[in-house]
Amino acid sequence: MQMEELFKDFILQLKIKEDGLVYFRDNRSVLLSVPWFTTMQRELEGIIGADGAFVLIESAAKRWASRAVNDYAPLVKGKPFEEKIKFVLQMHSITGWGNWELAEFSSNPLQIIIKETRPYHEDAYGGKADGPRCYYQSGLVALIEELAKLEGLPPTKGTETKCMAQGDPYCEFVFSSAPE
Amino acid sequence: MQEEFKNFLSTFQYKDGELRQMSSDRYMLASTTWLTDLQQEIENIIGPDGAYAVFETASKSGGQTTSEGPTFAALFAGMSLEERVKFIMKYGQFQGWGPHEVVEYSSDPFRVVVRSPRPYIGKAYKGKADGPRCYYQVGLTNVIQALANIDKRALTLQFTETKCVAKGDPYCEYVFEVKTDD
Repeated sequence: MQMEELFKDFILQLKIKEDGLVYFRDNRSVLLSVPWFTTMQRELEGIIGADGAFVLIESAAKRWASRAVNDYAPLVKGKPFEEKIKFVLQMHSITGWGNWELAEFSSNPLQIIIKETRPYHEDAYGGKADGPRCYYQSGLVALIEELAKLEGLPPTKGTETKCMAQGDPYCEFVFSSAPE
Repeated sequence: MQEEFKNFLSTFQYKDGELRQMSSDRYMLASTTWLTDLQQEIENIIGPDGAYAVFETASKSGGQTTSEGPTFAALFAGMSLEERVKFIMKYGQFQGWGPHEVVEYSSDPFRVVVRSPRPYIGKAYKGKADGPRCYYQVGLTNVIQALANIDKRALTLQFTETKCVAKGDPYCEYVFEVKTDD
């Protein structure tokens, strides 16, 4: 589906129900300001360091992924794994989480590379961070890992290998089979 | 309500991974369960006061950015401050924060009391928290200050959450009033 159509569908799927709450595909949702995310992340880094902030954000993100995989499963049912990932990336983009693309896909051995060029942290780090900073994307990473599990693939691990926060031209995540 | 919500959504555009309102403020859609999970993770590490401080800084930044954008000023042409405050509560509801009712409004001294029966934290605390937990809503302080500033009225407000479903109250109640030096 083209992004324009997908965006129209996304808007149609946002509903305010009789309880006065907003739902996206039956999940209560909020539209959050992007500066909020970045400031929150930087505040946490200031208090518990970059590694601590990552672990903490990752923990909540993984729980999100374990729920989201159930929402995505019927939407991508019957599609090849590569198409499933493309769909997930399109949905992640359309909901404002960046401009994602599947850059490389190989099923045997498993190697997936995804890229994005509009990270939520925007220019907050001025390209000078000492490591990757897309902490919130650990939810997307966990979602792809969960989808791989549903495909019956060996345990898959995704890692952020490039990040605009540290001066790379784009952010990149590489997935491969986790070592036994 | 449905029509107003549709109009609200029509102000959003998508381009290259960015969801923007009126080509200005950038937003992302997130689940409230995830947001509450994140809040509780932070509380577990740095405690409720630490979590509040982190959310306060972030929310004020978010509120500040929103209220400085061209979207913001365009929304309130011709409205009184009271109307603007009520409008922004409806606007917040459309963003997903749940119904917010202004139950008390005083212009001088400025004081607004808002009730929210369905906060973003949902039932996460099961009514057993030892204090209020709607940290995110502190960001409304900056937004209300900015609403007053449209008339060049400089207000420095403080936010107090006097009731919260997290601690067993039937609704959450937020008070925005002129800051006192204490």
